Amino acid sequence: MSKTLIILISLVALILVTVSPAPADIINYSNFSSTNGLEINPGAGVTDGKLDLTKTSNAGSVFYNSTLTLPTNYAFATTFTFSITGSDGLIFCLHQDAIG
Amino acid sequence: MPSIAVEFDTYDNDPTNHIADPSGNHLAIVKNGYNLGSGAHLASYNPSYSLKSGSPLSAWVEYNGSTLRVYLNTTSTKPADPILTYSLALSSIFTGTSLYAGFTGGDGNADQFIHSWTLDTNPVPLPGALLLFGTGLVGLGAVGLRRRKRS
Repeated sequence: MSKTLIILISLVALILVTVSPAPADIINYSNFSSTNGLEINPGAGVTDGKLDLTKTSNAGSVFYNSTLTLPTNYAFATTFTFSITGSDGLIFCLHQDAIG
Repeated sequence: MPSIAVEFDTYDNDPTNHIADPSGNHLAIVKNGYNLGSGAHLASYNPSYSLKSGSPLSAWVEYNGSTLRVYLNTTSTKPADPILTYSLALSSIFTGTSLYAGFTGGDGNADQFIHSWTLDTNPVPLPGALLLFGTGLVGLGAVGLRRRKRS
């Protein structure tokens, strides 16, 4: 193998590694003044720029309205800020129900 | 329903035996739908402060391919240590890696607010890129060796 070819392959490989996927921001809401991309299910709503999970009912839910494709090892990281004023509480959930 | 969830539970459904719920102020990891039976909580934690004070709390939920970790704080700074750590294979719960993500809330007469939300995935390096990277390293090494031999 010529030296030029070796250097070329090395450069291509290094460039590919450099541009290989970095952690991807799939979901990013600093507040909920806009709920684009979200499915606000019955019972839930928005109050003062916050998701109000039990706004109009005793139970409600909000889901990202398209499926996420996790890497093959299912790795993910999520963070959220929340507040609760009484019972019963809330749940963060990843699910695979066909209904969405 | 195939699912994994972290609950922020402010109501004790089992004050007598504390099997269904450890307390009226706990976090827990649950899978395949919430139920109140024994063993429903894969791991649980009772924070020293109230989850229902109405003050904002921040939570981090992370999975690295083998362990689920949950962090909680009264500020937006991620603590060094998780409050929940549980080893499980999400591949044994789900079929394929297409999932829905979101929140559910239930109340007696109260509010459950989400103020902000981010979710990132951490793709594993592509095998092809790794192979090429290896080839590149070997290539660079070969060039280095040749140069050394010539000099």
